[in-house]
Amino acid sequence: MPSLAKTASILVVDDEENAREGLSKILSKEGYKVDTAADGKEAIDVIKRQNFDLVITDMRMPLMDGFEVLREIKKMDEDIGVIMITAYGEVESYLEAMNLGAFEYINKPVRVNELKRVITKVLEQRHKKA
Amino acid sequence: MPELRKDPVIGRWVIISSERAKRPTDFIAEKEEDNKAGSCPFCPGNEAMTPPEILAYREPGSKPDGPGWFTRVTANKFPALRIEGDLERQGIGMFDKMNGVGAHEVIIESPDHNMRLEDLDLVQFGRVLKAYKARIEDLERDPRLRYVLVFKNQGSSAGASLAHSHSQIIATPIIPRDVKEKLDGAKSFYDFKERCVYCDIIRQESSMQERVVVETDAFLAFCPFAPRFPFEVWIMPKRHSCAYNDITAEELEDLAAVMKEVLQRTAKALSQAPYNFILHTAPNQIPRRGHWHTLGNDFHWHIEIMPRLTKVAGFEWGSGFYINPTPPEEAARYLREVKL
Repeated sequence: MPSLAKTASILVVDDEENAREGLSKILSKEGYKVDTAADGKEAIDVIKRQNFDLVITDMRMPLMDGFEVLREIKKMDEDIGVIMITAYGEVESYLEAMNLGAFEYINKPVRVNELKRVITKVLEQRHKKA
Repeated sequence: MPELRKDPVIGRWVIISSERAKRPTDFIAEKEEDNKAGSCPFCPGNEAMTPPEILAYREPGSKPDGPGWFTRVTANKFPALRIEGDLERQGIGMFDKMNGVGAHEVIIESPDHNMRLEDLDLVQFGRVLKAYKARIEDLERDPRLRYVLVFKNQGSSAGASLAHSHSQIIATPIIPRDVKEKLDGAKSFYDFKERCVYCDIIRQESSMQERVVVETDAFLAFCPFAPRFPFEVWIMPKRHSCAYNDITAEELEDLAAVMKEVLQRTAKALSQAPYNFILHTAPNQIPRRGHWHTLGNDFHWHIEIMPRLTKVAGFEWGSGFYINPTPPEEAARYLREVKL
């Protein structure tokens, strides 16, 4: 989806620098405009100042966890796609995330092809709504 | 005086409290909590919440990963083992390790969120059993996978994390210890007597009838002589066969009827208590052809159903003994007497 990729902006939220920067690099190479935040609080501050099509957030983070980030995002803009990433995947938190409006919930280690496929789906859906 | 009884295959001892035997009403089933049907990833319309389907029996014309299915198999979203990669067996000093390669799949037994397995009609029940067979056959084509275990956790205290009725398959790159124990026990018996131990058990149980719950031409369902758990029931095919995937279409139909009846009787007698069942079948013979050369003669596939009425605690973990407060003869009688 190159036309979407050229214009789509993604925020990557993860307190682990390597994971954050690694994902940011991969997505930048795909042509997306990528910003990063090192925790949930920073993510919310960035989203207040800037528009994003998609937020990819880790679940376990200091200050504000992925669920709180998801709740805050949905309060601000219901249409922002949110992908949750976790190393501690379990059914209960998956269901909670989906009920709160997450688009997808992906287990770590992230498989890049799976993530790319999900991102394309989020952006397609957002594009259709617009 | 309590009794010690020995399992004839693996030699495991159990303690049967025969004096103050517990009846079905003495067990209090824990209340099960349900996730709402609307957010259930196994319900029709929510197919996108699961990984893509591997197998589905569907209405003609319905599309994969959409509604219109009767039974649906997908990879587990939270797999214990992953299918990608090589085993990379390694030794670290005296310790062994390998990558967690395997398969972990979910069989969604019905589109109906509130339907328990035992309440499915026989056609639908048959689809579930057919799906087990199809998945075992397919997974055994992968030579990395040594064993395919089909099991079900019914109820949260039996390990089910979603209320929508489903079973699971985990294929492992090694033969699990408990399975190996059974295989070795059956082989030892065969080496000694040149007979299948399970065929002997079927003959004896069928002639005694004391522990039989349901019997048909093709299957025998009975409470085993030395059960670990109260109201434990084993279902065995009368035709000797080591592998479930050798089951014929007629046997599959019969098994659906027998298993449905056993589960219905158990559910009614024990107020829908949580349970686990396990399908014990032969290991994948492709990776180590010749290693299991007597397997066709000595092993006999079967299903073990274990209601979760008692807790496994320190004594069981420490000794391997199980204390069972209901003698299997009484359990079988209660189950036979249930009016369906």
